[in-house]
Amino acid sequence: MENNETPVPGAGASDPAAADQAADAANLAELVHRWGRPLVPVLVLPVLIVVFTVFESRFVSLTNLEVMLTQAGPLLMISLGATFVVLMGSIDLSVGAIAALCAAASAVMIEIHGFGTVGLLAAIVIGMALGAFNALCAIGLRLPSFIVTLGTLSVFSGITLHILDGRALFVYGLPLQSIGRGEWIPNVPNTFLVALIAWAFMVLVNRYTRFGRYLVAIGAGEPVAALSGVPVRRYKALTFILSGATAGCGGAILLFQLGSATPSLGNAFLLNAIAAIVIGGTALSGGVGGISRTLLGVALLTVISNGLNVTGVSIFTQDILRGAVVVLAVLVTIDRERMQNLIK
Amino acid sequence: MLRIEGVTKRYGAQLALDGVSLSLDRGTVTGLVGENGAGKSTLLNIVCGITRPDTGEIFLNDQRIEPPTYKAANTLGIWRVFQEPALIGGIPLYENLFLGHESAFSSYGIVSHARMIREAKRIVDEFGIHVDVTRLTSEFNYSIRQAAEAVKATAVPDALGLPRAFVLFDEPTAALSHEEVPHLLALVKELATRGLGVAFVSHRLKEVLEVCRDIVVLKDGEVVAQTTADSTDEATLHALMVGRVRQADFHAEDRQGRGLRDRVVLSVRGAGCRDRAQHNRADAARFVFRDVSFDLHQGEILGIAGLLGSGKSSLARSLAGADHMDEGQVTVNGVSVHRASTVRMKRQGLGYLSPDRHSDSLIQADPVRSNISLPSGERDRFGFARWGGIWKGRLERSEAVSAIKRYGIKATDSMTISQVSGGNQQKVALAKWIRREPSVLILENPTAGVDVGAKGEIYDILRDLAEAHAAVLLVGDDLPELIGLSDRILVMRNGQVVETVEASRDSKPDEAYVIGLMT
Repeated sequence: MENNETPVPGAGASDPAAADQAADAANLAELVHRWGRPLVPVLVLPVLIVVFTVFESRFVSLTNLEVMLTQAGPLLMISLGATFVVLMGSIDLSVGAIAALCAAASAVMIEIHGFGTVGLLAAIVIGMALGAFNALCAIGLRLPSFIVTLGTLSVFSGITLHILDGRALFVYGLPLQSIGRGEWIPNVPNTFLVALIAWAFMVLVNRYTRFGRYLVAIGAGEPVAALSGVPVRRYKALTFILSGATAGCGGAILLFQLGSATPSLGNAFLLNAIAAIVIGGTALSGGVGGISRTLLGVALLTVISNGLNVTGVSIFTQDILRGAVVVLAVLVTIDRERMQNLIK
Repeated sequence: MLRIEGVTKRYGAQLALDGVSLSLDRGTVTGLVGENGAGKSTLLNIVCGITRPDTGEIFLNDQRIEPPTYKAANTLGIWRVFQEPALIGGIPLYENLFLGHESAFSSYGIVSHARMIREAKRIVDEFGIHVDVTRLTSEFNYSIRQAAEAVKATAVPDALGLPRAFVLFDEPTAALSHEEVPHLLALVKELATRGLGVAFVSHRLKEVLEVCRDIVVLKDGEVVAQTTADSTDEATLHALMVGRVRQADFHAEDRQGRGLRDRVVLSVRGAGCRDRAQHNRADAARFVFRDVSFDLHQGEILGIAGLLGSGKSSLARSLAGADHMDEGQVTVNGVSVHRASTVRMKRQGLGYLSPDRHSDSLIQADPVRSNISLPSGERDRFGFARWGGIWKGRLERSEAVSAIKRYGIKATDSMTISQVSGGNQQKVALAKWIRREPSVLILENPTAGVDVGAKGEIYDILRDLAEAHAAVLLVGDDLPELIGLSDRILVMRNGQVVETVEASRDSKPDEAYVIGLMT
C-alpha cells in the first residue's frame, strides 16, 4: 500500500546533523513528488503554441488571442466550482446544464419580464439553488454524486427547454452591457477578466481558508476528517452550492458573449469542464490538485481547440485529438498507483 | 507439504515479517496465533499470492512456487477463507462455489449449470450443510456463507481434478455467534480428516487449542515458538504471543493516580447498538453491545477488554459519535448528548483515535502539520480559523513544530504522514487531540504496530494526560498494556459488560483472570 520510497529521516539516527540532512533529502524528494507531475501541462503549453504557430502564424495574432480569451472565460468560470467538487472526491456533471438553465432563466427575466440587473444576478442565485438541490440529493439521500448529477444534468436541460420553449431567446435589453461586453484592458474581454479574478479569489479560498483546506482533507481522507469532528456533510453541501453559483456566473457570461440564451448552451461545457480539471492535474479521486491548476487545464484545452481550428484540421479529427489529449493528460498528471485501489 | 522459508516483508519503516519459516502438513490443522500486527495476515497474504514477499521462498511439495495472484494460488491448491466472506451476494450459491473455474463445467464455451448444481449439491451435502444451492448467496446468513467458502476449497479441486488443497482460515469465528462456532470448528476438523492442510488464525486461544494439532506463535513478525496443542495451554500461549510479562516501570505505574472519583466526565447508561452489518441483516434483533453502563472520572484511565466481536470497538465508535447508538444515555461533562455526532462530541471535549491509523486517524497524503490542525477548525482558543474562516497558517506551522519537539516526533512539519514511521504517526495522531485539552480521550489499541521505544513514550503521554485531569477510555487487545495502564478495567463479552476489575497501582489483576472473564 505504501510505495513511498522516501527515506524516513532520523530513523535510528541519533546525530541531529544526519537527521537534518535526511530531512532535507526528504524535502527535495517531496518537492519533486509534489511538483513534478503538475509541471507537465506547464511544459506542454509552450510546445503546443510553437507548433500551432509554425503551421499558422495567425495563431498568435492579437485577434486570435482575444478569441481564445473569449472562449476561455466561461469555461474557466464554470470549472471553478466543479474543481472544488472534484477536490472533495465527488463530481458535478451538471455544471453545463446549470449554466444553460441560469442563462435561460436570466434571459427570460430580462427580456420578457423586464427585470434588468436583478435578472442578471438571478442567474447566480438560481445556480446556487440548483447546486443546493444537487447537495440535497447527494448528501441528504446519500446517493453517489455521479448518479445524482447525471440525473440532474438531464433534468436541468429539460427545464431549460421548457423555459425557452425549445428556441433561442435573443436578449436585446441586456443590462450592464458596457461592462459585460467591454474591455478595460485592451484585447482582454471583461468576461475573461471576471473569470480570472474569480479564479484568483478561489485560489486564495483553496489555500488559505478553512473551507478550502477541509475540502481537500475530505477528498484525501473522508473517514479521517469525519472522525476528527469535521462537519463533512455541511462542507459537501456548501461545495455543491458553490459549484452551482460559479456555473450560474458562467451562464451569465455566456449570455453577454452570445446575446442570447439557447437550449444547447451548456452542452459543450459538461465534458470540457471535467477535462480542464483533470488535465490541470486534479485527481478525480479527490484530495490531490487544486483550483490553481484548473487555469492551466482551461488554457491547454482552449489552445488545443482553437489551434486545431485555426490550422484548419478537420472538425472530425479535432474531436479525436481532443479526446486523446484528455487521456494523455491523465496518464502523466495523476498518480495511477494510488488510483488502482479506487477503480474497481 | 507447504513450506515457507525465510519470508521477510517490509512496509515502509515497518517490518511486518522477519525471516519467517514454518510448514503446513496435509491432514492437520496448524494454528497461527499472535497479537494484532504480529504479521499473521501478511503471512497468509503472501502464501496465497495477494502480497509478494521481499525475500524468502514458498515450497509446495518441495517445489518452489511463486503465485502471482490469488487465482494462481487457487490452481496450485491454496485457498483462503476471508474474515469477510468474499462471495458475491447477487448470484446463486453454486455459482459462487465454482466462480472463476466455470471452464471445468463447459463444453464449447457453454456452461452446464445443471452439472454445476449437481456437483455443488453433492459437496455441500457431504459436509452436512443442508441448503438449497440455487438460492441467491445474499439470502444465506453469515455462517452459512462462511462455511460455503470453506467448502469451496474442496469443491473446486475435486471438480477440476486438482490436488488436495491447503485452506487458510483468517479469524473465521470472529463474527459468528456462540451457537455457530462449534459448527465451523467441526468443519475445520472435517477438512483435515479429508486430507487437506489447514491453517487456522484466531484470537480465541481456546478454539485454537481445540482444533489445532500444531501451533505457531508469531510476534512482531517473527516465529517465537512452535508447539503442539497437547503440550501447551492458554496462559502459556498468551505469554508467548505478548512476549513479555507486565512491567510496572514500563507502564509507568508509579505515576498512576486513582482519578478523581467524585468528578464524573463521561457517564454512560444502558447504551446499546444494533448490528447493522450487511451479513447479519437476517437477524436484525442482534445487538453489537447492550446494557452498557459506566462512569468515567477525571484523571482516570479506564480500560475496556474483550475479544474481537465483544462489542468493545463498536462501543468506542458509538461514544465518539461515529456510529449511531440505538439505546441509552450518554452524558459528557454534565451535558446529555442526543443524536451524537463526531462534531457534537468534539464540541463537548471528547476526542477519539481509531485503531486504524492508516485510513481512519491520519490523512496519509497530507503533511504532519495539517493532520495536527485537522480537528481544530473553529475560532476558539485551540482553533486555527480567523474571522471568515481564514486559516492561521503560521500558527499551524508553529504548533506542529512545538508538538514535534514536545513528543519527540521524528519528522518535519511538512513531511507527509506516509513518510513517517508507525510510532511517530501515532504520536502525531495523539498530538492532534491532546493540544485541544480534551476532557475525554477514547483510544483503541494506541500502540498497535508501534515499536517498543515509542510505546514507552506513548504510555508517558497518557500518564501526563491523566495527571492533567483528562479521562482516558482505553480500548485494547494488549492485556499487559491494559492492566498496566488502567485504573479499572471493564471486561466485555458478547456485547455485555461482564465484570469491572479494579486495577489500582498495588492491586493489579492477574492476566489469566482477565482472559478467563473475556472467554
